[in-house]
Amino acid sequence: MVISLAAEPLFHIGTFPVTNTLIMGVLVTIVLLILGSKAGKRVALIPARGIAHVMEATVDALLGFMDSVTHDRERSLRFFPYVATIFLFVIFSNWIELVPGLGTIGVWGMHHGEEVIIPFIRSASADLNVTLAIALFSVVATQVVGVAMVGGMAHIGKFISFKNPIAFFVGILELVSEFAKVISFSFRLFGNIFAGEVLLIVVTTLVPYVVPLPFLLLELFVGFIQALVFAVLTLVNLNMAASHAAH
Amino acid sequence: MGDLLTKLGIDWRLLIAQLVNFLVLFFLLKKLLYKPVLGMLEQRRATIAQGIARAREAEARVADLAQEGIQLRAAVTAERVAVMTRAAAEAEALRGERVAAAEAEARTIVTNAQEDAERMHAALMVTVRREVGDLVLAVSKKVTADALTRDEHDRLVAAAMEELRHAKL
Repeated sequence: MVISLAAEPLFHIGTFPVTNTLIMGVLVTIVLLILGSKAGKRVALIPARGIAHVMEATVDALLGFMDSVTHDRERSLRFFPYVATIFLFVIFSNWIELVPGLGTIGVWGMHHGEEVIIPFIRSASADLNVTLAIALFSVVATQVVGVAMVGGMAHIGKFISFKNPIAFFVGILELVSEFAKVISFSFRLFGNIFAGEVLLIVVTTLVPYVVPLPFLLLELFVGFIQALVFAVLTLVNLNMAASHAAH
Repeated sequence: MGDLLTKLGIDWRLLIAQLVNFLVLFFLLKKLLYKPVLGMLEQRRATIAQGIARAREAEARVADLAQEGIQLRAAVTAERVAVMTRAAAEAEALRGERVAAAEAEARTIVTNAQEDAERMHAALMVTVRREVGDLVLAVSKKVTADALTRDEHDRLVAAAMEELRHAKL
C-alpha cells in the first residue's frame, strides 16, 4: 500500500521526473483530443449518432447550464472554452482512477525504504502540480477576460483604487482573494480526490470484495461534483470579471 | 517553505509541464471541438428558429386562406342568390311581356275575326238582298205581268227594293 502526497516518479528524463500523474495528464489530454476531434469532424446539422452525439449533448448541456449563470448566450459562448476544458479535464482525471484494477499495474520502486509497486494510474487531480496548474489557468484566464471585456484600466481599478480608503482596502482584499483563489481551487480539488484515493486504497486493502463498491460510487459522485465546482467557480469568476464595469 | 512544497510534491518543472499540457488541451479542444460544435449548435438554433418562424407564417397563411375561403364562399353564395333573384325577376318580366304580347295578339286576332265576320255578313246581306230582290222581281213579274203596266211594275219593284234595303235580316 503506497500513500504519498507527492506524485510518484516512474522514471527520469535527465533530471526531469516523469510522474504517474504527468502520464495520466498527458493520457487524458490525448483521449480528450481524440474524442473531441472525432466529435468535431462528425458534427452535423442533424445530430449524428455515437461519440459525436454524446460530446454534442455534453456541450449543449454545459452551455445551457452556463446560460443559467450568465443569463447571456454571447457571454456563455465566450467563456465556454475555459469552463468546458476545465470540466472535461478534471472529470476525466477524477474518474480514471476508478477503473478497477489499474492501480495494480505499475513499476517496482522504492518508497520510504520499501520496494513497492508504483502504479501507472494515479488521478491527475491527486497531484498538487496539476490542480495548481489548472487553478493558475483559471485565475489568469479570469484576468485576461476581465481586461478584454471591461478594459485594462477598469479591470486594474478593481484592485488598485484611490477613490477613498474603503475602496483602497476593498481593492487590496480583491487582490489577495485572487491569490487565495489559486490556493483554494488547487487544494480543494487535490484534497477531495487525494482523500478519495486514500479511502479507496484503505477500503480495498481491508475488504477487497463488494465493500469498496459503494465507495467507488461515492467517488464517482465526488469526481463529478469537484469537476462541476471547479468549472462553476471559474465561470462565476469570469462572469464577475466581465461584469465589474457595470457595478 | 521549500520543504513544505517538496512534501506536497510541488515541483515547478512538473507544474510547468502540467500547465503546458493543459494549455495544449485548451487550444486544441477549442479548435477541434468547441468551434465546430458551437458553430453547429448556433446554426441549428438559427435553423430551428427559422423553421418555427416559417411554420408560424404558414399557419397564419393557412388561417388567412381559410378566412379568404369563407369570405369567397359567402361572396359566391351572395352572388348566386343575386343572380337567381335577378333571373327570377327577368323571367317574371319576360313572362309578363310574353303574356301581354299574347293577349294583344289574341285581341288582334279576335278583332280581325270580328271585322272579317262583319265584312262577310255585310257582303252576304248585299248578296241576299240582291237575290231576294231578283226573286221578288221574278215573282212579281209573274204575278203582275198581266195586271200592271211597265211603269207601275218598276215603281213597285223599286219600292220593294227600298224596303229590302232598309229591312234588317
